[in-house]
Amino acid sequence: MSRGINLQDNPEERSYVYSDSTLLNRMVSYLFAYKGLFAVVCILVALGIGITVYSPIVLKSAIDDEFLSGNIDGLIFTAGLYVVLQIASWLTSYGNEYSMALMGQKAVYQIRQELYEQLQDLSQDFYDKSSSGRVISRITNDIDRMSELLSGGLISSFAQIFVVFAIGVAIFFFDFYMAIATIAIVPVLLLTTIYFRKKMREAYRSTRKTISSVTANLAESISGAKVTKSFAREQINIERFDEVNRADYESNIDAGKAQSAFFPTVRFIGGLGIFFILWIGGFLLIQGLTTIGTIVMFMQYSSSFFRPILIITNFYTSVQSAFAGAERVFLVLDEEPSIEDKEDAFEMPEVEGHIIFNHVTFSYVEGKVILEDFNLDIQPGETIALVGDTGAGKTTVVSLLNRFYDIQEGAIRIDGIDIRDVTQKSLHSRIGLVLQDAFLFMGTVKDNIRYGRPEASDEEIYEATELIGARRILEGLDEGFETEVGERGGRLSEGERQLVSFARALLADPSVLVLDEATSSIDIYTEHAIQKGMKTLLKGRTSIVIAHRLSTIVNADRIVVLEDGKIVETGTHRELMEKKGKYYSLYELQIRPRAQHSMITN
Amino acid sequence: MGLRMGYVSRLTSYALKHKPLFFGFLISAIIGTIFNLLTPLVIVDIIDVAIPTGDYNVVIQFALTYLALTLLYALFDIGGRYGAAITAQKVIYDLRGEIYDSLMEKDLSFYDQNETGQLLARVTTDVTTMREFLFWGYRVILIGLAQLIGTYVVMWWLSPPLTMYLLALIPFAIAFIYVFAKKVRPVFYSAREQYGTLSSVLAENIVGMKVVKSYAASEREFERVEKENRRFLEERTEALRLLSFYRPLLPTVFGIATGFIIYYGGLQFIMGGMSYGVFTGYITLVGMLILPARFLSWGVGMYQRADAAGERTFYILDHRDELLNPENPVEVDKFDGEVEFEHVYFSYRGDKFILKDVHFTVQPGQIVALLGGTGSGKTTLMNLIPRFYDVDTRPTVEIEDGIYHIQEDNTVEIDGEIHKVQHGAIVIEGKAYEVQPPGHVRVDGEDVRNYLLEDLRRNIGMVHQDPFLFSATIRDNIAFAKPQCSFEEVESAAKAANIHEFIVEHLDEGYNSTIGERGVTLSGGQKQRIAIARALVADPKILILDDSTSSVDAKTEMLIQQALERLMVGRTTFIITHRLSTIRNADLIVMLEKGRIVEMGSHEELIAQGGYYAGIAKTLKEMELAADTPLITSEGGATSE
Repeated sequence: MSRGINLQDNPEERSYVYSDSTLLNRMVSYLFAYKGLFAVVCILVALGIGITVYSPIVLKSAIDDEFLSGNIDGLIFTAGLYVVLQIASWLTSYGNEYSMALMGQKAVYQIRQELYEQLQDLSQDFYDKSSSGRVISRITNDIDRMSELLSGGLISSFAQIFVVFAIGVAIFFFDFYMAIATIAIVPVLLLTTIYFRKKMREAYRSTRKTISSVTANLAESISGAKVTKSFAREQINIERFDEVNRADYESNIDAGKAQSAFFPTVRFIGGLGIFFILWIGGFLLIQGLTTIGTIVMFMQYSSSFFRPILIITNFYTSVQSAFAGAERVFLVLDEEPSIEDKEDAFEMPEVEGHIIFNHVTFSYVEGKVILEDFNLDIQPGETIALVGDTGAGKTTVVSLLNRFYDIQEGAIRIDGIDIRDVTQKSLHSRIGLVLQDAFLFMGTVKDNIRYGRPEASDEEIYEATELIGARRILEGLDEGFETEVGERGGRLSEGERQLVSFARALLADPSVLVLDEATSSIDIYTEHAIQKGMKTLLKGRTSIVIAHRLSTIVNADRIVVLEDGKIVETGTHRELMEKKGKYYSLYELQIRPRAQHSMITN
Repeated sequence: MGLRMGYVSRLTSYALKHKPLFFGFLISAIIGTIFNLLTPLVIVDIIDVAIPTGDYNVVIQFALTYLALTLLYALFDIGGRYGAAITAQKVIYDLRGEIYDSLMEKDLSFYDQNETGQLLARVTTDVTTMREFLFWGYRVILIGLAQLIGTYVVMWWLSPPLTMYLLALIPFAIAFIYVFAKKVRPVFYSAREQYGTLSSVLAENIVGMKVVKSYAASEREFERVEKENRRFLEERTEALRLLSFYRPLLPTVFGIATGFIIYYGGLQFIMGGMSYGVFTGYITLVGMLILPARFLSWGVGMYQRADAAGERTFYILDHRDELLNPENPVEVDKFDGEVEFEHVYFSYRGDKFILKDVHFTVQPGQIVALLGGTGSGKTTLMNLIPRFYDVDTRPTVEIEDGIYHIQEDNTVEIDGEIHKVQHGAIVIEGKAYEVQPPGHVRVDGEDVRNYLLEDLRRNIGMVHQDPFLFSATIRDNIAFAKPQCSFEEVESAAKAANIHEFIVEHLDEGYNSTIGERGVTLSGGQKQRIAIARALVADPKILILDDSTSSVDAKTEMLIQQALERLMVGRTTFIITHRLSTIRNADLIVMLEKGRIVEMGSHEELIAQGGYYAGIAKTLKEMELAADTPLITSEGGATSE
């Protein structure tokens, strides 16, 4: 199956939360941050337009005046002027294009930086409602969509409109009829371009569909190669691929028509303009109403309409795409973090780890209470195993301790300090968090273990690994501790990733540990190290474990059984088994059968 | 350079398979260019010939000639473009088909050596780059050259001395092409690479945001992002600066040439050596010289990209499989299922040993449990049986910690020194190290390399913990190995795999439901059971089960376990599992570390040995006891009442 394809948003999709003018204003405001550069660009653009309009006039005056008068000095002066104008034109283009790029790229840098900062500040509820793929797309693709417009597209499109107008006005000073002939092609050019762009967009849509089936088929074939081979099914796959390949061929041939006709047609319309100038100009010349220089000048003007028209018509497409991107980026930027530090928040000091949930009531959405009047007192150094069905509120309890969400009633205190009175950052640094999916960063095994304490020595790393009983396994990896773990740790097995995350947590040595145990069973070669490692990790610190492993549950100081957000039982394994209550049935129905499969001979 | 020319000319050989089209569009492009080159001459004649006659009709005629030439240029240009589009598409169609066939034929080591994502890029992005070249490249280079030469010819025709002066523009054009290829584009590529780095840092931090926060590493990560973002800003800005510097330089050089023409042409005009028409024609012609410079620069860029893309894509076609069918295959219908590994060594390209001296035999119907971590070699070992890889074919010698291949000339290089094999051993500093002859993997006593690949693989079934299913119906997926088999057969396999009930009761279209993006989504446990049914239909004598991880609930786990047990009956089974029960029941437990067997035997034997396995079993047993004690007491309490 083609996982990982079509994950991107439709680039043209808009939700219209912001109006076009709001988006434009906001984007421009990023450019206005560089007022000096902006002023430079405006001056240079104006200068450039002046030169574009003036150059053909110089040519005309050379032909009409100097050629006829035979004034060599005048000729040298005019030719020199023409050359100077060309060099000036180069320097203004360089200056203005570079300044625009600089401004635009700085703005892009700025937006990306702001967005990242915002993403760091946003609370957990934001990540709950948007998939990480989409969030990543915000900070990469969507900002790129704005990039083209910001670094030149916006300003130069406006500049091109002025070019068209400036030429349109200038030519009327020289000859009315030829001016009309020259201007007449502009609307034709514009309409033709718009027509073809529309055609090409439609064609592009259909080719995008066929090419994505080709890609999907290829992706499936490549990732399923092993299965195909082991069942010797190659021939059928080849036939299936041929179908999608052929469909793509046909839709592209269709698209080729519009694509091939577009530019030659536009250029022909330009030729039509010159034809009119030659025709009308020729007549006027015979009548002595115009000069050769004027005709040459008009021909030069006529050909300078192309670029502006192409840029202006393209502007629409790039604005659509930029607006779509900008809207999604601004939506994230405008999101308020649901949890903010108090103004007088202080740093959480070193703690012993006495945790109290005092009459806590909490709901994610109003009206759907998850925890109600929840009370729990955890002594320093105690290990608590949270057990219960899915949805009983286990994850909520640990999320609240980390203040990923704010509670509605009651208080959560660590060593008597309400967690809302301290900064979130200092709170997080006191609580170690070991997640179900052990997330590793690109880099070596060693780098990852060192993550929470960058200054730790190699010896400390080996020691930590030894303590959790993972040394033999990690040393057994291809390159031992220097093994590159790959993107998100993908080159290690799940169990090995967990062991690395244990070592990472042990090295960071927090006084409070929250551990969300993985539900999946792991090959026993790694499993036994994990069970040993867990013991070491939990020792001597206040720990709350969302427990699935029998060993973890049995070894906990206290088991807390949750049901519908309430504590229904607490006690040790032995005590609870004797009670024959909720825990007993959980044990019989879930914990034991799972464990049995991995441990007990049938 | 000789080799590097290869890929584009190879691409050309594909285009040459469609000769009429290929030459047709090239000729059409040339004819269009010729018409275009004639237009300035019409302008010359209008001014010099038509207007002096004072006859309106003559002027119209000439102007219409101009229009006709422009129209012909447009038509032939369209023809050239359309022809190129069709050719490009045909070539891409052929090429994709060929690549696909070749992908289907590749052996598995090819897929292991190349990451899926990269392979996919080679057959998508790189192929698209080549299509760009097919559409634009040939035409752009050809038109560029034709227009360059043609313009000078026309200029020469009008005024040889002025043309002589204007030849000075050629070095400028060449310098322009050179600067873009060597100076500007590389900076763009490096900025794009930096963008890749920035994106992956961002993606990583977003996915791992919780970890970042919980280790209070926000500031550190913010700095890392800032650093990469700033580098991207710098590189990208530098690339754009170079572009804005060099791009407008080209029209400026030609503008300066126009200034020169004004001066020189003016002098000639005053002295009576040049007409208005010729002067005007020159102004137009100089403008026409910009296009070849642009086109050729562009063409060079495309050529470079197509060449690089070609190298990556043709790699797939050129990659030779090491695994071949034997010349005189041993015929076989059904295996008994005896598997033997005899001193098996395996290395990728001869340097990194994945398996070292693996040696054991499995009797038909036995169960072998494999233990070991990532990099232990257990997966590679399994892949040797269906010949996804072959064992090393050269003899080896182990000296201290190192393993070395013996070369064909019976020598071996160790730490830069060449040693010769004598009497089946290498002698270093008076110590003899025995040379190990190449290993074998045998099924039913016959080396697997002597069977036809198809026969061999048909008799070996593989079930993975995260099995790959195709976007087809459930029925097609189960009947994957035997597309013609009856529905009853599919159904009974599904029943044995404990998945029939689910299919019938929970899926609207039952066995005809399509799996995948546009169809039903299955959980890991359901996929696994469909894969078991698929293996049951295939009915292999040897089974390879990878059952190491699965996040399923207890009930599903029981269903899978039951299905697997049914599947294993009467088959030689290799299993990688997390279930201690399965391991205890195995006839043989093989524990691998870094490619070497460290412990081997039955559960009881290994416990008696008191090694690492015994340690594992003990830890797990302790947990089991700790959990069971209260059960006994509570039951004991109940009986005493």
